[in-house]
Amino acid sequence: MERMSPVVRTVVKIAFAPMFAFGAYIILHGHLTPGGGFQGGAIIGSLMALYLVAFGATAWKKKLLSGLESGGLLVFIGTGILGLVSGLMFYNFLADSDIPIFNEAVPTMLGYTHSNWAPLWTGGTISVMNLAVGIEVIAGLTLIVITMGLFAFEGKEGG
Amino acid sequence: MINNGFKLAALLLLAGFLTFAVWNLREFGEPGEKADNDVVLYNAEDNTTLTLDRTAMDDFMLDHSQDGSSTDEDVLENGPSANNAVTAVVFDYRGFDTMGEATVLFAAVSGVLVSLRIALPPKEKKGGDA
Amino acid sequence: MLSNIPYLVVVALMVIGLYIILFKRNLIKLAMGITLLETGVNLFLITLAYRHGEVLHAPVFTSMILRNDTTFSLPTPHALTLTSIVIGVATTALLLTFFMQLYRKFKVSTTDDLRRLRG
Repeated sequence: MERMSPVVRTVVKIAFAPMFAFGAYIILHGHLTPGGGFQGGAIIGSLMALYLVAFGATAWKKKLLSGLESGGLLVFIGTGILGLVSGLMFYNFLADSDIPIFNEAVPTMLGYTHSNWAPLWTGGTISVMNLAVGIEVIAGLTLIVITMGLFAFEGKEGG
Repeated sequence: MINNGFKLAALLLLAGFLTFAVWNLREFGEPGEKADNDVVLYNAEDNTTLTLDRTAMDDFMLDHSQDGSSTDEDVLENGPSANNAVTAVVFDYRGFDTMGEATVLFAAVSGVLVSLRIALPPKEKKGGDA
Repeated sequence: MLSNIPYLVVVALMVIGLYIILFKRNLIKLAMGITLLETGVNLFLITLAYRHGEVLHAPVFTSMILRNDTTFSLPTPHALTLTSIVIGVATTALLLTFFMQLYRKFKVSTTDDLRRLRG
């Protein structure tokens, strides 16, 4: 299987960082703008598919990706179960509390009830769950793409 | 054997059923209004009544998705405290659906990894049976 | 009756998907038909979330100034559509994996060849 031309490889190398930053922006600001964990994870998953098309399939760190995927799902379920301490499951125990992770309150503008801006550090457990689901979707889609690519190219070289 | 006549009849039957169902759905763009009857609970021990204000579900989620913690006793202590109502619905009011969805994605990735295993080359122990 | 025309578009998508599943024999075309049917269902869920109003906003609070007649679209069908899309992706990935393995091992690429494998 011959390689892709140098133009394709150079453009993918240059465009990798801005596209990754765009996907991470959508994951991180999931509670302020439209987006969230699943959408940002799908963007970075398609970036990994582009990388596979340009550079060929290699068995790249499958154990690390598998560990990241399991870790993401466990953090998500663990955050839900931790809410059982103060009442219900998936209870937002980080909003307006003393734990210094994502605990600011959404500021309200004088005279209006519903329209305001909000800084990044609000959100409570929603932001933590966004990050966990984003990591899980990135690792899962990358694993699928790498496995299918390895399976498709394995028969051609072996004959 | 199933020939083309049966397939066409089944397809037309399903298309007609779907069109009839969609025709009699509620009008496009007019979801249910806020409910105009309140639920009144009667406490027989103290002889007091408690009135719950029933609004439509989506209006409740739009009104309360920016709440942090509250000092009122009737309301739940901590709200979602997010500016995005869709994220508040997905991760806070309907968190179990998202948990099930993340598990389905994990199971699908595991299924793909199991099905596409590359077979190892045969071992050397067959060489001794010559 | 004329106000339900957006739902008829959804029915058209689903009928086209069903036609592909019933009448085409190639396995990859079958996968495309299933994906089209799932797309129709997602579009139906989003069509349910519309609300009439003079000024209609997406259900996200930004720093805009609200007037008296602003309405927001309903956020719950958007959440259900997100879940449905992810499950569609998972189903399509598994389906294509099985078709790849079938072709590699048994040289099967239509449903007629698949029937021959039985028994």
